[in-house]
Amino acid sequence: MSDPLIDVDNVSVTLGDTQILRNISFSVPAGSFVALVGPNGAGKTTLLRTVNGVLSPDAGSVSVDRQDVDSLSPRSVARLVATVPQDTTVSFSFSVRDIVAMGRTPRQSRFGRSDQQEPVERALERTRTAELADRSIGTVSGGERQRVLLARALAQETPAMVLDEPTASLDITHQVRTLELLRTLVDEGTTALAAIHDLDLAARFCDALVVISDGRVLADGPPESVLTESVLEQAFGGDSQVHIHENPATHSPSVTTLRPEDTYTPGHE
Amino acid sequence: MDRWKRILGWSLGLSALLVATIVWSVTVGPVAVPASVVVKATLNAVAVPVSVAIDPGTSATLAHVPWVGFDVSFVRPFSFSVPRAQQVIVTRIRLPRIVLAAVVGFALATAGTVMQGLFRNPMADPSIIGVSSGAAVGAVALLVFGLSVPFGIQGAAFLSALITAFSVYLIATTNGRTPVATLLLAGVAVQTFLGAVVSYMLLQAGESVNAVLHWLMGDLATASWDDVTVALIVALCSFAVLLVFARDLNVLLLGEEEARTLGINVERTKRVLLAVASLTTAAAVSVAGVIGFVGLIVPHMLRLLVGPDHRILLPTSAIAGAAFLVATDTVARGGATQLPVGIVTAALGAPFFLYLLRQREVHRL
Repeated sequence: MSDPLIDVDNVSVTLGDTQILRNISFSVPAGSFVALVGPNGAGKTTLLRTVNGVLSPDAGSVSVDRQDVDSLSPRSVARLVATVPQDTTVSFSFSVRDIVAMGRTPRQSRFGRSDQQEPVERALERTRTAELADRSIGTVSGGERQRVLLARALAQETPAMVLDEPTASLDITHQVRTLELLRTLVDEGTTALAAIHDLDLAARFCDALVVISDGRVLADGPPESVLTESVLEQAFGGDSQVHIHENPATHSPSVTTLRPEDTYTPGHE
Repeated sequence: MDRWKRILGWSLGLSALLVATIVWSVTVGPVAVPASVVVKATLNAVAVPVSVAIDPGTSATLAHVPWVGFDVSFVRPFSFSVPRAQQVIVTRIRLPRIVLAAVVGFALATAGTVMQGLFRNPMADPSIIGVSSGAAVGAVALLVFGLSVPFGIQGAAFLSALITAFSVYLIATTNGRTPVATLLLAGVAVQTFLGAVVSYMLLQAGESVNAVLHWLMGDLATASWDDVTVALIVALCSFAVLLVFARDLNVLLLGEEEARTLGINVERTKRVLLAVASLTTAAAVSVAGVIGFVGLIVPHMLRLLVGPDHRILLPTSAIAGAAFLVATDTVARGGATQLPVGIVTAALGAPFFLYLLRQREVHRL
């Protein structure tokens, strides 16, 4: 852990007439894996779209590697931040290798004759998608496609990576495999900021969680300190009652949502 | 480099097909000309510029090139013996029309490929933002009201095409952003409006109605070497620019936001692609009239053959478009009655396209 690689400083974003983000500040240290958690509509996706330069903040700034994202060209941003989108719909039949090679776009000159194949092949290897390389992107499964998009982001060779719900459309096995892969990539030097719905998975794989609710940061820190009953009840609404315990298998915090009729008395397990 | 081999292989193969189609096309007509004579007569007409004189009119051997402003002297490296009549038929009568068909097919297929990629819509064609309707207003107004303007009907069509395309672009743009869905709808609305204008003028057409109908269905009968020169320059320059953007077009297929996160300046790229594709369409339509379907089906045919990568799709579509229009125009002028080529492209192209659609469903889907 060293300097913050991604620094979100007092950012406010308005889309149309609705203010989505209000004075958001937090930072992601270099070489760490941070999860954005919070209810639907909290502003997680908007925040990620501000970090990768798609949206401009009304106030405040986002800097990556000490450079103000909003003032950079798309090409310069794409050399700092790679984005793994929630879902990509490719209606044309590009091969997996073609899709991964598109990650090289910000690093190639328009008139450059040769593609740099090496980073593409390396990204295919690291995400175990090399055996899919010649398949059409339209014929691979959801879990495989997520790995292909991760490979594309790796081929971009950026210091930072943002991911919007990388596990949203995956079954439980592929959710864990994708996050394991991401954890490995972070341990090898990437810095990742990901919106993750599943609190247990976020707690298990990430170094820190940033809880966002109604466009504000509610809590920010290591999973054990952030996943408290009061924070979650505040984030997900007053009606929800939650119970937090240590998962006996993974030893990370685990959250159970309770219904009013569930009788639950702390201390009697 | 595997991809370069593929691009080169397909392009050379299709170019050979184009040359063969052109030679066959020249042999077709009221007077039979054997293929060997076609080749000899064509080579006889080849003129290589060797020197340029700034001072005009000094020698009878110099040819005057008006748009450059000075005189160029040429050397003709070939002199095969060809009957005078056949030499004239090949190089003065048939070749201008055939080469113009090739250039127009090249331009329309190029623009169609780019528009389909840019709009991520298989129904997109070169005139999706109203270029053809705009050209039609200019050309029909000239034919019906007998106006006389500099550069004639081609000039009027070209100008009104570009004005229309630019207007549609402006209508669809707010705050420097041009969503393609808005652009598409604005294009449809403007085309409908201009269609009404053209229909109204047709009612007033009187004796010129035949000429107007021929223009509206796309007709290469009035082709001249001047048309060829202008259209060729625009088509080749546009093609070169679009080819440079082929990789950006691939990335744009992923969606605009994803393209942006991969470093593409989306709005600027869209502006360049729209402008250049519209320019090349306008050049084609202004010399040939409204020729439908070429720019729609040729890119689809080639996408089935070579895949979606624009670095190979763009050159192969362009060359195939040239061969396709030469072949259909040969059918159009080869029959008992001379037909506008637009009728033939639609009548032959649509069933062939439907056949391809079915084939693809059987084999791939």
